[in-house]
Amino acid sequence: MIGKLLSLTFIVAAGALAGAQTNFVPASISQDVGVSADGGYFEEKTWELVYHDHVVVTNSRSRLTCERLTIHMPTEGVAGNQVTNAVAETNVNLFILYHGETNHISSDKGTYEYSEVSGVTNQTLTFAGHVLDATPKFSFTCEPLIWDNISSNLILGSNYHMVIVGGTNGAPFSLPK
Amino acid sequence: MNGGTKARLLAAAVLCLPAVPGVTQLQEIPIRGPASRLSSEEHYPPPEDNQVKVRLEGAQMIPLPAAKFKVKELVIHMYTQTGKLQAVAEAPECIYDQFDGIASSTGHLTLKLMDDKIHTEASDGFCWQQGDGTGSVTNDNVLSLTNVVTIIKNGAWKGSLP
Repeated sequence: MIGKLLSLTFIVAAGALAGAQTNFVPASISQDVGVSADGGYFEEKTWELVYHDHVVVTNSRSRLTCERLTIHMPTEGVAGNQVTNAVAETNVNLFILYHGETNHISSDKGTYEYSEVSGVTNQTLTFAGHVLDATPKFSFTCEPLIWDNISSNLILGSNYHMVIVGGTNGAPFSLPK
Repeated sequence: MNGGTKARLLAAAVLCLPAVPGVTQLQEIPIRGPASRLSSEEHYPPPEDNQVKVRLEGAQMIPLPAAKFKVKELVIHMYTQTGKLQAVAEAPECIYDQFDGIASSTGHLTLKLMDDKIHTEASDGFCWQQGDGTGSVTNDNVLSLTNVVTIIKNGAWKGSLP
């Protein structure tokens, strides 16, 4: 059962990563990502595009909200001139539609990172700070929650705790480690 | 009457005052002949001082009081140290303060990054603040945007999908 749930979590996280990186509006036509916010700024020195206040990031099957989103523009010649790092901060909420169910991952911070070091490629999506992954069937906490997109592994941090809805008489029960 | 109401009434009264040229309200000064074009460049500090860092251009400059100009068709180009164009900002109109190095507007601006793979629209205003030229992080060129919408196009992100 736990293995099944972990698989489910894995799938949910995979969806989350897909939502964060891929793109949006509408899915059948484009995979672009949409971002909106009350305000923002582009700092020429650091090549950062920063959004603040009521930040909403959307694609065809997910929606990310936060209070601050920083996209680090690539340095010339690095990583094929593509974005390799983005950070969502404060009240980070990711809603993903998967098989008709809404999965909700919340945390204080969400970080997407891509790197190539000594021929080794790393690509991760990390949720940290009060991490909670909630679905209609279970909820899951740990610190942090990392999706490794290269190995397709979900890395669970410390203090993980799972609550499964559907125990005796439909009541939730938990499986702490 | 509370302070907020007083302030609002005062603001309304100020807005109702007739325009006094050169005193409290910007007013266009009629010019004769063709209007000037805005063309301003900032270079990287040595040893890359031959390389343009930022270029401001405007199709038309209309002088206003207090060393300000109304600029039509503002375009801001930002370059890397090797001369690659990295960002382009375009606005149909703005007010440019040449002493403070500020170009601002309550209108629309388009910002194109990474060959327009990241396309941003600010619908309710912007403010371009030129840095002091020292290149310090705390006092460098910053483009502030109000009511922002961005489309990040496919391929802008490095990495594949799971």
